[in-house]
Amino acid sequence: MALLEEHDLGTPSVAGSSTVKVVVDGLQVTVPEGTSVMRAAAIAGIDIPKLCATDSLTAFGSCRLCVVEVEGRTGTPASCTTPVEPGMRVATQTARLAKLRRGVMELYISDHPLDCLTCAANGDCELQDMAGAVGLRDVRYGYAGENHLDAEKEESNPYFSFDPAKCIVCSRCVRACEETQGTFALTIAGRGFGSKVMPGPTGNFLGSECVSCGACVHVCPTATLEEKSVISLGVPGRTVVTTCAYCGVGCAFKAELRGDEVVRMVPLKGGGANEGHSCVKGRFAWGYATHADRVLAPLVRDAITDPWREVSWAEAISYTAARLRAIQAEHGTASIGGISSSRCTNEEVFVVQKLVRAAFGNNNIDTCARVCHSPTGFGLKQTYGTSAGTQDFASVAEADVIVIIGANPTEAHPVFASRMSRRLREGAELVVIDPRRIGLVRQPHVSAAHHLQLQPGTNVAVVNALANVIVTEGLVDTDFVAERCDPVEFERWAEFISDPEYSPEATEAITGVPADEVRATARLYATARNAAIYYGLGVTEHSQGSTMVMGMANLAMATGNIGREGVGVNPLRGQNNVQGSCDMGSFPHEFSGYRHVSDDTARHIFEQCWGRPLDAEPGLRIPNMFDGALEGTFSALFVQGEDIAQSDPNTRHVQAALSALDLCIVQDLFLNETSAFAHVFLPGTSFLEKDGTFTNAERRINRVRPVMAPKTGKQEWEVVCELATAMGYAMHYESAGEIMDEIARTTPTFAGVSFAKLDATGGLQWPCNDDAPLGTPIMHVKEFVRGKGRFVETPFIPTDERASRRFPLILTTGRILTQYNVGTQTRRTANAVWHPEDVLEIHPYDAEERGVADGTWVCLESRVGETSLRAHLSDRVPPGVVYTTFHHPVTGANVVTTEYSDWATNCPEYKVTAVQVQPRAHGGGASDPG
Amino acid sequence: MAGAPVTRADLVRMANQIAANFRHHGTDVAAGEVAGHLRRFWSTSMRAEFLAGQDTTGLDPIVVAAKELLRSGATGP
Repeated sequence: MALLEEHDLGTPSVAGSSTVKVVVDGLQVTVPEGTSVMRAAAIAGIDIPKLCATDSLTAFGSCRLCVVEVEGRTGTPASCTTPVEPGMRVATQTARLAKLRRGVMELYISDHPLDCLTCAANGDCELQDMAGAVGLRDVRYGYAGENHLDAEKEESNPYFSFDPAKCIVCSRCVRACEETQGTFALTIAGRGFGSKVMPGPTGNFLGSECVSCGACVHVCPTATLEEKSVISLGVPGRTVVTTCAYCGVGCAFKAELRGDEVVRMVPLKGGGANEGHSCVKGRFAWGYATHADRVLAPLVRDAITDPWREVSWAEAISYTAARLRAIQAEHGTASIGGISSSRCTNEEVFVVQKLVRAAFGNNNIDTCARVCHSPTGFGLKQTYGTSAGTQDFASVAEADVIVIIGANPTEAHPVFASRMSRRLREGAELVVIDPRRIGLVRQPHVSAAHHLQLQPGTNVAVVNALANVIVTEGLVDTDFVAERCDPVEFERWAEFISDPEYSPEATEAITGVPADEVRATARLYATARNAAIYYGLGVTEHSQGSTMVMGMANLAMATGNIGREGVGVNPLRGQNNVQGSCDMGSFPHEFSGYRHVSDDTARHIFEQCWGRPLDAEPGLRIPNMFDGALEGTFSALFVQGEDIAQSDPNTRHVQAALSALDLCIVQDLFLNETSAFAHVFLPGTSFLEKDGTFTNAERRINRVRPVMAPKTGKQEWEVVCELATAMGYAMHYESAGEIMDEIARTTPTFAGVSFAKLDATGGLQWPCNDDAPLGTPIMHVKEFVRGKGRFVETPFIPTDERASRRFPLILTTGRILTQYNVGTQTRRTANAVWHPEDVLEIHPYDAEERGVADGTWVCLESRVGETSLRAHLSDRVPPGVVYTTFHHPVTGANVVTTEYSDWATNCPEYKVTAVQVQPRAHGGGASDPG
Repeated sequence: MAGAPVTRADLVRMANQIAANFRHHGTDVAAGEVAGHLRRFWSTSMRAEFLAGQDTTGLDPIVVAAKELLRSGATGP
């Protein structure tokens, strides 16, 4: 399509049921009470000239360009700050107003470079547009007066430049940093003529608190803040609306192009998940898609010690199919399997699990969600009946108490974090339950009411203590429980959790959290009008990850915090399509829509659709596949878009398993740690080439549209279909849309989904079917998916991974804003400037005890491996706990993580590893202690 | 030990871990829950390896009871 320009209505929308009728330039318009005159006019189709106003920001009233006349009133009020009133009659175009506006524009232009023809924003500049709109023809003051035209350009940020010579000091950037992003990194320094936008005291963006979300660049009405890609490539000419491929927020973006070249990614105002906001990854870190490291042709080799041989697609497919069938002939049908990727589209994932179930003939399909949110699927299905979060993101705006458990939204889900921060600045109370002091505990205008800084591995003890208080202090919402929950299960759970062993006083010694803090938190949560839980991998990646998910679900049911806006239990998904990959039948025991393979009704649906008998027994999970490889019972693995040799725990174990395979097939963008063990490399497509859908953490199915043709010549699903066909099972689709049609035919929760409907609506939240034709933003409104909510008893079973004399510290891991997972994408962008290496956070006390200085190399050792990285002394972690990220293969953080896992799902216990830290003279990365 | 293949000990550890999370139900109910869990989530090959032999060394009594339930087919999917 041509360049998509979303209509800017000038001021934000106003919620409310009361409406007001006004007349603007003779046109009557009805708008919610409290709406600005500017917005009412825009809704009526009349755009009042403006510069400081934009509809993502609260009206500011500084530019004086939007003045209007109101019948019966003197003066010319700013339309952006003037609310409509019943019967108001407004004139936006009069001779007096025209004169005033021209006068304002003359002042602006008298101190602005007259370089429109060579300016990067030529044709995309609101100042230029407004000069035209007000009919500016000359500047009476001339251009020789005092001005800012020689102000120095600031170029430190890798993605955008700041040219103060072009700044009109409208404060949009400062306000966007405050209101949209919530970072407060920018300010206006000085006064009057000396006013200047400043990113902190140094004036240097890179060295400031700026998080490069791009909100300031997005709202800048001139070329003051401009993407460097626009400066180098020119103003874009067309738009493709698509979905970001980083985290589980699933932001909608306008890919703006010149020809087939992406010039910039601009957040879509109409995007349901992000509503016009973005983070540094989605907004700027897309360059990996065209990075020179991309492999664009298939590669094959007989042994992993051989060099790669580039082959045609036909040869790669026939070679792979023949070897897979030969291995099955020798070792049995169950000797091969596949892993799907949460970075790929629903359609790509669906065909991979179909390849495994129908062509391979077994259920040995698992997904990288195994190592992140599989306990979410288990826990929420047990308690509520379905494996998904309960709310949409917008729901947080109604929350009065927000509980964040084991998540760090500002780093890992930044766009949702901005939404959340906005609500917190409005006055919602915050509780953080995390061993580490995450940024949200204290940030500008946000301070947590309680930070329960628990010992790693004691989540369940804390959630039980909270529940104990709620039950024993009579804080249960008895009406909700009586109406919505299974009474027998509730009574059993209430008796269980009332045991004094779960009281805050009894658990304090285990958790390290003061009992009075737990009691205060429980009271706050239980008595709030609306209280919502948001959680991440700090909940799931534990030996009791599933138990903790059920514990949180119990809390929400007991207090009636489920089934409406502002409440719920909400997993923050790490990757873009974790929700979708799970929905699509990627687990070895479930078909799409979370139906067990032993369910005859479900299995028959697929057997009829696919024309094959299907196995009614669960297949192997990822760790079982590794174990089988080492045993010699599992011989071939298809890995779609996951670098398991870096991302999975106990790296040496994984490498040994991969080495033992007869055939390893990797489908990915780049040669990676896993491909070092592969025999076939099938080049994949970036999100800019994909055609399909991603499903975000709020169950929103978003379209992913191809910005450019696949650089490999094929969509990934086409390759999978060709492989299945070469193995003797014909799979063919004309388009990704046909795959979604098959998903809809076979999956009740997707029955109403089609590409046409997604295109028409902009996105749908499943369940989407005859009962909910436009989707389901909030689940369990009238009843739980399983009928009555089920309380599950949650005994605390300490992990076997304990600190010891030899390994006295506990390592926990997390993410950082600028990098993504194992860094395959972000390390190939300028984001590396912010996080060139993983570091180990260690408390100054522990550091001093070991003679470790800030910035020096240390050896990090567990019972399974060791690695080296630099130390960063920080009191964000308590004594006894160390923390690192896992974005760089040279560090190999998973060299030290162990085989321990969640009891129900085998999700690895990444968050608790007993380690020792010692000074080391130099770096050297990961190694095996032998 | 890194790189070691799955062993009976691994299966025992996993089964005991599952049992620990159902222990509060009492042995009989917990055994049924454990058997059901293994039936729903463990692959056929893992269950077969786990059920092979009569050695109960290191097994939680709940797991021993669950094994019997699985062997007898007393638990459904």
